[in-house]
This record gives sequence, C-alpha cells and structure tokens, in this order.
Amino acid sequence: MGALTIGLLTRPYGSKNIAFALRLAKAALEKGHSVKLWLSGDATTVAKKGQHKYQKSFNFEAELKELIEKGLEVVNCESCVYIRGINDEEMIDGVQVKTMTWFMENALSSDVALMIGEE
Amino acid sequence: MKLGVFISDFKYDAELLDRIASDETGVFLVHDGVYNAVVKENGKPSPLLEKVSKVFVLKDDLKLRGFAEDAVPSNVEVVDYGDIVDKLMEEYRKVIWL
Amino acid sequence: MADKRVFFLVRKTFKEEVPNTAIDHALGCLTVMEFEVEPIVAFVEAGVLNCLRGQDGMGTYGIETPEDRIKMLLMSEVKVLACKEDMERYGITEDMFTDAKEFDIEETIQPVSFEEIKKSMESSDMVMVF
Repeated sequence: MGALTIGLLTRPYGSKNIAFALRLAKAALEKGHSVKLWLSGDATTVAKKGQHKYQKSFNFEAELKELIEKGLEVVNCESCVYIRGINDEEMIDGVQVKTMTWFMENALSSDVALMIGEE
Repeated sequence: MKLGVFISDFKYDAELLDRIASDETGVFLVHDGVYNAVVKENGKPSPLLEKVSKVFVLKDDLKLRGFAEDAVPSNVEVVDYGDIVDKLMEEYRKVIWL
Repeated sequence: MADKRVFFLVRKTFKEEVPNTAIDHALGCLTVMEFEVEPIVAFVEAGVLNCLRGQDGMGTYGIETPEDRIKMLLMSEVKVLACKEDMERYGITEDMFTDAKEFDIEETIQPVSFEEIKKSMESSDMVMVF
C-alpha cells in the first residue's frame, strides 16, 4: 500500500479545498493507504475545536475526528498555528504540532505529495 | 514521471499550464475547474481540453454544479475520489495544484 | 549530490502569505535529517516581483518581507531562479534584484529562461506551486 501526504494552505470555510482534501484522504484510507495531512497558513485554523454545524453546512471538525480515528495523521504547522492564536488545548484531539521540516521529510518519503495552495 | 495537474478554477492559470504541460501531463478538474469540461464559452469548448493528453473530471463536483455525466465530452474521463487516488498512486506521482 | 530535489514554483506576490510560506518550506528542506534534500526556488509570472531590492517591511508594517527571506535562501546556498521572460514582461532587470552581499554571499538570484525552469522542475522529485 502507498503513502499520500497532502499539504493545505487554504482558508477552511471560505474555500472548498479542505473538503476536497478530506474526501481524497478518506478515499485513500479506505483503499488501505497511509495518509498524512499537513495544515499550514490559514488551513491550521480548521483543526480548532468547537466548530458549530449550521443546518446543512460542512463541519470539518467532525470530518477530521472521523478520519483521525481511521488513521489520518493531522499535523499543524507550529509557527502558522500559534501566530493565529490557537493553543494546543484548543486543537482537536489527535492533531499534532510540528515544523516544516516534518512536512518536507514526510512529503519526500511518500509515494505522492500534493500541496494545495492558497486560492 | 508523468505530471498530474489539479485545476480548481474555471478561469485557471492557463499561462502556467501552457508552459509546463507536456504530452504526458494529466489534468484533474475539480471544484470550479469542472466547468472547463462542460461549459462552452462563445460556443467553443475550453481550450484546456486540447492542451493535455488526459483530462479527468470529478463526478461529485460536476453533480454539485448541476451537470450530468452525459454532458461531459468523450475525451474527458469522469472519476470519483477513489479513482483519483488510484491514478495518483499508479500514474501521476508528481502532482501540483493550480 | 542530494538524495532528493524539491522544486518550489512561486507565482504569487505580496498580498498573499504564500511567497513567504514557500520560502519557509524550502528552508525546511535543509533541516531534514532522513536524507539530503536540495530545494530550488523559482520565481515566475508576477512572482518575480518578490525579488526586488529595497522592500521595507520593518519600516512600514513591522514585518519580514520576501526580500528578507530570499536573503536567507541565498545565505543558505539555496539555488534561487527568476524567469527571464517574466522579468522582461514586468520591466525588471537583474540589477534590481536583491542579494546578500552585505553578508559576504556571492550567490545571487539567477535569471533563467522558463525552458530551463521547466527542465529543472521535471528532474525534481517533487514540485510545489505557490
């Protein structure tokens, strides 16, 4: 089985890039691949706890929790997340905080690495 | 190695695609990028469809925008998320997002 | 020769965070322990404007600029390329580019054709577009 690393820079609810990344991750996990998700820039805020679901909107917190349970490794960029005022205790359980070196090491060790940039 | 290019906008960075595309480039149309598969501007299909050897379009993103699969021309392959995973793992290991 | 090569293509400009983020990711390559990584950063399209000398981040908003980070790339011996055709399009000449001479660094931003950028991209293990 393969390894997929997805990097995300995009704003969470102002764009549907995170929805795409999570669905791609889910499909890869279901096929037995290992998947890592690197959150950088504004994408780091999607890993914050306490997201409310309004009617039929997305709820990325619930999606992330489900995927973390299925084996998705979610890592927030250290400098990007702290600069945005999100502390460790405010992050969804299971989300880790690491530096860009972690991302580059994992992206280069993966079979496929996709960086989804800002729009 | 074949290059896979994700295009997520209707009005995408055509200049960059022109510059980097080769015979082996495969394009994945997702989000608003799917309009390039089905919308004709002034009666003409998107020039993107002629630029690269393979074009894939994400089924869910087509349906989300009100297009049926039969609106997709025969030179474009309709795929789901699982298909994209397979194509990345088997064919397009080097991928970029425009 | 490095074990892996990563190519960073930067086309966005100041308003976005991504030129700096791209450079930070490139610098992150240098501290990977598992294998030796060679990052290459290429500025294309309007992204070549990030290379201009004299960006005043501290005197205006109190922040680092892409110029500051490009200096770090040069000081770290990272190859920095700028697309010749795009420089011409936006009226930029090589002498308008920043450098790191104040730190005794001889390496500079190298103007190259897009064809050369493409070749370098194709021979890299991974490409990231910002």
